[in-house]
Amino acid sequence: MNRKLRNSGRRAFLKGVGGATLGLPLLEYTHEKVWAAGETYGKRLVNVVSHGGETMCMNKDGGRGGAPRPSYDPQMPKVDHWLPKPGWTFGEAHEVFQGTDLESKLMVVRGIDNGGARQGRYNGDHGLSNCTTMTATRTANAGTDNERPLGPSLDWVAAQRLQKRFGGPSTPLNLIVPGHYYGTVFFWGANGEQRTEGEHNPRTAFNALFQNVTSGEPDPAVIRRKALKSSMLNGLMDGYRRFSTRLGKADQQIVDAHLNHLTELEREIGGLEVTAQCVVPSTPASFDWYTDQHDKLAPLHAELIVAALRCGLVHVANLEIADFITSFTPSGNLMREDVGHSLDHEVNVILEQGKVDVWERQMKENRAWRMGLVKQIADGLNDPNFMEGDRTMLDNSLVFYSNEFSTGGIHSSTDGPYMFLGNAGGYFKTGRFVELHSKRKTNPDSMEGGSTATTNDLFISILNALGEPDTTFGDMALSMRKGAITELRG
Amino acid sequence: MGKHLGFAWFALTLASGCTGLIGTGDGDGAGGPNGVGPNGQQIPLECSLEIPQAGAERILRLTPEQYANSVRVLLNDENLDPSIDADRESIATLNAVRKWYDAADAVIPTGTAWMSTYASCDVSGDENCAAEFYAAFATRAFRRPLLDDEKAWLDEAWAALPADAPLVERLQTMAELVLQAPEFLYIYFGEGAPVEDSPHGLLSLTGYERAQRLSFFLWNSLPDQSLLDAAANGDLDTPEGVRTQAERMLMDDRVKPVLRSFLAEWLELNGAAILPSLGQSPKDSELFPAMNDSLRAAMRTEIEAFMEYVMFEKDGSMEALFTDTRAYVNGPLAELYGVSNGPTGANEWKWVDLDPSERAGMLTRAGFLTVHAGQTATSPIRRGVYMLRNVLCYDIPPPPANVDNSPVEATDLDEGGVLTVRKQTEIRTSPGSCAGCHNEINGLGFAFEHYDAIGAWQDEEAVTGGDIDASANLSHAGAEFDGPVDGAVKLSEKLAMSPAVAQCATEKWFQVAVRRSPVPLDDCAVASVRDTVSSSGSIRELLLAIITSDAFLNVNHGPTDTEEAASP
Repeated sequence: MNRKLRNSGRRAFLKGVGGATLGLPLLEYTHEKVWAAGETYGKRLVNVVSHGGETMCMNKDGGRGGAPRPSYDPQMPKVDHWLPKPGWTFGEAHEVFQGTDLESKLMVVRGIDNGGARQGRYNGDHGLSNCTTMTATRTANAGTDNERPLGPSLDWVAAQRLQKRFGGPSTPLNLIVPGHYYGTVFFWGANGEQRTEGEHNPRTAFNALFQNVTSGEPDPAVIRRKALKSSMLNGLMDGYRRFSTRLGKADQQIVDAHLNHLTELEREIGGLEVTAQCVVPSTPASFDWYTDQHDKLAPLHAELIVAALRCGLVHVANLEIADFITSFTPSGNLMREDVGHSLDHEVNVILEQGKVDVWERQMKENRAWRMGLVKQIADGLNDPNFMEGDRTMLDNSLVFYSNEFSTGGIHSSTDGPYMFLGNAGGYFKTGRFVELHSKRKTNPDSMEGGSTATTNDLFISILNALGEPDTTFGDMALSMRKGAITELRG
Repeated sequence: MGKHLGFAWFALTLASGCTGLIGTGDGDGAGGPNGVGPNGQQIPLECSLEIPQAGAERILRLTPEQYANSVRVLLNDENLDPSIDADRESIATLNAVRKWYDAADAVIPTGTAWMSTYASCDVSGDENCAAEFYAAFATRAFRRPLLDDEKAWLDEAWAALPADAPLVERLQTMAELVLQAPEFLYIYFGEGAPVEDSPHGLLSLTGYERAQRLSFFLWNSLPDQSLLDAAANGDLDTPEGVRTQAERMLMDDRVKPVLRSFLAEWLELNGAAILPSLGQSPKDSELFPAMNDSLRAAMRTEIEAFMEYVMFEKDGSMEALFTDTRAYVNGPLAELYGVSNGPTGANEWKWVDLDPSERAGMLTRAGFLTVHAGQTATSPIRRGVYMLRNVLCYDIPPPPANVDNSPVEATDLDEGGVLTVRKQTEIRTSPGSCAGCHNEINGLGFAFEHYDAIGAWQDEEAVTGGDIDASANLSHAGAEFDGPVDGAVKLSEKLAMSPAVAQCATEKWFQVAVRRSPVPLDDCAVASVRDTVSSSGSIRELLLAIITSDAFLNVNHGPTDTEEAASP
């Protein structure tokens, strides 16, 4: 329940083209499906994106590993922790949810390709995959440090949309567990022009998030502080307008972009609505980027995400997890000093040395630790002490997990790892493993390629689940379905 | 870096068989007489006309280092470590703006004690003292006296703050406003006078603009009082005056982080497109049990210390950079280099001389060789590509999409023979479509075969026991230097004297100095700097030549090459 109902759901106003204010009737007209169907949708989105791939054995062409391949695509162990294990709906990668309250709220989807990463350069490398993982589009400046997508990432689009419906912040909370990676997967702005790296230090994130937030009744000092900030931002915007007049046209574009961001910031701060159930967490520890304490840092990020969502400080939160060895997991660092690519760049050596079992154990623990962070977030949102009517917050949310790669060792972006917790107000049917792979549907042991959807289609489904009637996302030339994946609804 | 086609270089490219793009032109007078093309575009003038020219540039925002150093100076707190968006693009993202907003809140100290630096009156209890404080604070932050409209803007912002808020909170808010003002966050040159006879609308930088260009280049920070005084006195109105200040600044410790950062970037110690950084470059723990985070850090420390040694003790000698054998090592690094009687523990550091038959200059140091190597073995391809692109500024096209990119490794053959990394590299790159570029790439990369994947010397490969063959072929270094060369020591000796390397170093430093790549309008400036470094052999002189060049002392607000290319 909002303390200050400046914008409340159906009463929200939408700024239309040209700045005209559209009232509810027109909104219902333009969003017919959303407002007329009587269905409920998700209110928030959490994106957990891991780097380096999962314990899966995909070839670059989309088939599963195990068959002889060209020299650059070595024979791989026939291991796939994301397919159902005997006697259970889900795979070994999801064992942290087995027997918990979350098992019925879990949905794993297979048979989806990142079409953007398959467009070239040995079917995807780090730069290309990072730029396309959440954007499902093509890229500019291919192969360079400045490679970027030609459209925004899912999180940014979702945040912009949810802000229009619910007010408050229009950008996601963006946190990263640092380590080895080749750049973020998050690109903001209408054209994806803003490469947006996450905050690694939970202390810094906490200070930014909760500087004007108090638990319980509002603190007069915080209200006064907010007024000062608001006045300062208005003064700053005047300053940028004045400064801009001294510049040439090209320089003005740079300064005007800054001014636009200040405007957005001022609007967010002015319109911030802290929920009544907000509880400000204790101040977290501070960490350097080059920390070797991922096991200490990462749970603090998860805690911040849950707290920020409970307080209504964001509608969308990102947790990006870089690649690193999890030497703190039960078996420690069993193998070589690799940075964590899921099947290791030198998987042929693993095979030759007969170390598949050791590798598998290490990878399983590494990825289970990451999945534990997802569980921490989902548990926080599923807490019965923070209900939204008769539903938990998780029931009105989507916690979406994905990875830059399926098989990291060969940079494969086909048949990727995609997973949900929460059903977006009942939009998705969870408690299921959804097989979209054409060959595995009839033969679970199939080694052939056979994805039937791309992330374009998946992201359309996610936006639909959040109440947005989108029919396209990213570059639809990369799409296989040309629309939402209906199987996700059951 | 080096993306436009000079005419002379273009002819060379066509003849090379590896269709790459080559660095900036040689500035020998390929320009036209009027400086304006048929469609109004800016084209270079002949250097002999001696009319100042400079490539177009846009307003720049402070880098994260410049921001951090500046707030440390402004708030007199060396320990401040603000969290700032790492992106360096001209256009700030929302994330960057949000981080500046948060950082301003985080770094401003509580209370008013720190404000006394900026006011002669009692800030804590005198409402009338506020204007003196925020005007003085803004003057220091903006690197010059305030303009009238800036004073009026600050007064209006102050008056608009909620009057019922305590004085100290309003003062702190004004400090936050200054730290987010465009005059602080952006570097803009536009107050100077037009340059006489310039067909490109060049403006001469004012003394204060030159002061901040100097200080942000050499110190990554605000101008100090001496520099501001020099600007106020008109001492920076001449190249000689600028040089005097630059010489002083180059002797100051504040230049050291910039030097360290330059070499780290040049050697790609921080990683590149798909190249892991020194700290993250994976190595096989069975083959290299000594490799750990501590050794990686030691490798970086050594290279950074080497750069300072070259600049401060060898007078910035290019020859020393490529050939000197002095090294600052701790115990593990001494062991890697095979230094006898060196330090023993990880915390014991000492300057030593490395074996001159094995080591010569920066390209034979462990940090560089570790980054440019595989997980288990050397990488002639990575090392060769690096040399062409970054030491000779000879760019090469990316590999084809279907290339076999798996690491080349040495292997034993069942029949008892061996395939060394060199042999396997030759086999893999021998097909006709590969050979054009790889003749040049491998030719350079093979020179480093004596250094294993963590930079230790090897006479035979660890995996195969095969003998090392480091015979190589230098290309694109200049006619008198190109040709066969055996090993990286001999290679480095040639590179130290090569005019192509001097040109490349000039372009690299130029880019750091003015934060843009050189374009044809900079040809005369770049050629002049290159000639200086070729004749003097000194990086110090190179820096001074850049600082006193037309490209540094003036500003061109015309369309950039990118903007011209994008216009219809």
